Amino acid sequence: MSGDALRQLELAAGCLRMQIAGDINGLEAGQHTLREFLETNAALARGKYQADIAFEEIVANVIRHAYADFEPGAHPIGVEVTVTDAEIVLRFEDDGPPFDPVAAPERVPPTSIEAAKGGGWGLVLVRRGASRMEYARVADRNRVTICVENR
Amino acid sequence: MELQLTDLGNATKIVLRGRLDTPGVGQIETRFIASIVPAGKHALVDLSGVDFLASMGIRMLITTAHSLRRKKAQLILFGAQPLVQESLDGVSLNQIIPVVASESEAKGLLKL
Repeated sequence: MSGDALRQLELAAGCLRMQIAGDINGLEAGQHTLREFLETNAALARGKYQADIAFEEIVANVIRHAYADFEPGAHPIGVEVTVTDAEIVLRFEDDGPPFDPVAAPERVPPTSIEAAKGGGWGLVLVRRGASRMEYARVADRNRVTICVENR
Repeated sequence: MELQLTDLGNATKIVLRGRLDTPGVGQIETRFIASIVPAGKHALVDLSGVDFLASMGIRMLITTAHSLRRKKAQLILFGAQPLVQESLDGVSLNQIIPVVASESEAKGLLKL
C-alpha cells in the first residue's frame, strides 16, 4: 500500500473525516480506517456492514469510472462519516464528471444465468442497504450522502 | 482472502475465507476461475467464512457460473452468513445461481 493512500485524517467522537487517494490503495486504506472507526464508535453489526458496502461501492465506482483515465491516485476522494445511536451517515466528495447515483436507473435482476451480466451490482447493494441517499453537485464536485440505520 | 479446494470427484468444493470486495477479489479471482472453469466440473462454493460480499464478489460468482453453464456444469453457493445472505438477496442472486444453507443441501442438488 502506498504511503499517501490515506492523505488526511481527522477523528473526533462519532465523526471521521479522511481524504484518500482515488485508487485501489486509497480504497483499501479507507476501508481499514472506516472499519476501525465504526468498531470504536458504537456502530452495530448491520449498520457497520451496510456502511462498509456503501464505502466500497461508491469509492470503487469513482475509481473505475470517474478517474479511470487519470494517473492512479492523482485525484483524492473526501469521505466524512458520522455515527449516532440512530444512523451512520457517510458523505463522499470527488471532482470527477457529474454523476448522480440517486437518479441512475434501477437495475432489473436477470431471470437466468445465460442472461446475467457479471458487473454493475454496486448501486443495487447500496440502495438496498440505505435508508436515505442524496446527491448534489457542489463547486464542480460530486457530493453523495448515504444514511444507513445503526442497528 | 483465502481459497481452499477439495476434489469431490464429479465436483470441486471451494472454501472461501475473508472479504469478497475489490481487494479480496483481486487476490483470488484468477485462481478461483482457473481452478473451476477449465475442468468443467460442478462447483460447490462454501461461503461460511466470507464475512463481506460486495459487487465485485457477486460479479466473480456470476461470471464463473456463466462459464460453467456453457460447459453444462453448475455453481452452487452454500453456508452464507446472515449479512452476506442479505447481499445475495439484494441482487436476487438465487434467481440465477442456487443458494442453499448447507453443504449437504448443495450436494443433494447435484445428487452427489
